[in-house]
Amino acid sequence: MNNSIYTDFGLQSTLIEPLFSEREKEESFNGEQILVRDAGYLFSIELRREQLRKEMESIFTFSNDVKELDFVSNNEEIRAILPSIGKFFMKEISSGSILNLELMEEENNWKTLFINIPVNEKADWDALNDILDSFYDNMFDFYPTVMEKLNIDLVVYEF
Amino acid sequence: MEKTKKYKKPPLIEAVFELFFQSNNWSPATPGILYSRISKQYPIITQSGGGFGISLGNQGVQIGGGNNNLTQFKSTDNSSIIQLSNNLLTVNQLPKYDGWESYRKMIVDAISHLFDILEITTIVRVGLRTINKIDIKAHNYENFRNHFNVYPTLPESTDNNLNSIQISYETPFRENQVLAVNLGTLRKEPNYEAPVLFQLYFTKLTSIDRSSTEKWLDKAHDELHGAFDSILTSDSKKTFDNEQ
Repeated sequence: MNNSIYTDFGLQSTLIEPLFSEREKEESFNGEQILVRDAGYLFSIELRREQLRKEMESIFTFSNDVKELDFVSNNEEIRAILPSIGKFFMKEISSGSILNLELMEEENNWKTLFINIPVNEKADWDALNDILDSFYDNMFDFYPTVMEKLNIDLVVYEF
Repeated sequence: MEKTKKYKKPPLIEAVFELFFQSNNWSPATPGILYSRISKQYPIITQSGGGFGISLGNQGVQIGGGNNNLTQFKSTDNSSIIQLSNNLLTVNQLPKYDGWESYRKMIVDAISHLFDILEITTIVRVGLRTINKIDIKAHNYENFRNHFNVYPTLPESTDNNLNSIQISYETPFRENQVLAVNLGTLRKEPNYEAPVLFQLYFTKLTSIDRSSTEKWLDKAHDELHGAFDSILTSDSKKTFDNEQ
C-alpha cells in the first residue's frame, strides 16, 4: 500500500495535510470511517436531539427546545409509534398542518406528552370528535404503556 | 496540559467522554450502586427503554438488539450527565461548560467510581468528543469559508448559495488513535440563522491501562483543542466574543 496521504487521497488531503503536518501520524490508513461507523451520536445528548428533531420535523413542532425531545428520546416505544399517530391525524385535518408536541409535567414526576392538533374547520372538528374515542380505545388495546403517556388534544382556531 | 482560551460565548454545545469496558461482575443492581455514590451531584435518573443494547466488536460499536439499558444520572439542571450500561460509561457536559479542568475532574471521578463498583477486566476503548454549533448567518459558500479553514473546492460555475455542506475526514495517529472531524450545515432554528455543526472526536481504538487514562485524556484534549483552533478562522473565533 502506498503510504502517502497526498497520493492516496488527492485533493481532500491538500486541505487536511497542512493542519496536521507536525503530528505523530500513523503510517497507514484504511479508509474506514470511525465517526460514521460507530453511531457515536447515540451517546451524545445533543446529537440525539438533533437526530430526533430531523426525524420528526415534517410532522411535529415542539413547544420547548428540549423537553419534548428528551422525553421522546428516552421512551423508545413512544418514539416508534409517534410518527404514525401524527401522520394519521395530519390526514384527517383539511389544512394538513404540522402538529405540535407539548410535555406536561404533573405531580409525582408523571409526564404526559400532548399531541396538539390544530383545527380550523368545523367539519374537521366533527370528524375528529367522532374518531378520537375509538382511536384511543383501539390504541390502548395494542399499546397500553405508550398510550398512558400520551394525550391527544384538539386545539380549536376560529371557524 | 495545554492552556486553552476561554470565550465569553463558546460555541460548544456538548462534550462527551466515552469509555467502553469489559467487566466480570456487572449485575442489574450496578446502576443503583453507582447512584448511591453519585446521587448528590447527579440526583435525576432516567433509563432508556426497550432493549437498548450496545456491543463493541470487530465491526465497531453496534447499537440495538440487546437487553442492557443505558441509565442516565443527571445533575439538577440537566447539564452534567453520566450514562452507564454493562459495557459503556459516558460523561456528558452540556452548557454551561465551565472549562476543561472542571470537566476533566468529572471524568476522572466517574472512572474512579466505575472501578470502585465493578471489576473492570479491560478498558476496550476510550473517546473524547466535542460538539460545537456555529452560526455563519447565511448558508452560502463565502460565509462557510469565512468561518472554516476546511471547505470543499467547488467549480467556478457553482452558485455561492448552497443548500448544504457536509465534510468528514479522519486522521490516524500512532497506537490506533484517530482524530475525526465533521462539519455539517443544519436548518435555521431558534437563535441560529444558519447553524453549522462542528464535531471533533479523538479516540483510541484499542485497550488502554487505567493508569494511562488521565494522560490520554490530556492528550485527547490537546489534540481536539489544536484541531478546533486550526480549523476555525480568526474571524469566526472573534464571534465568540474574544477572551475573558
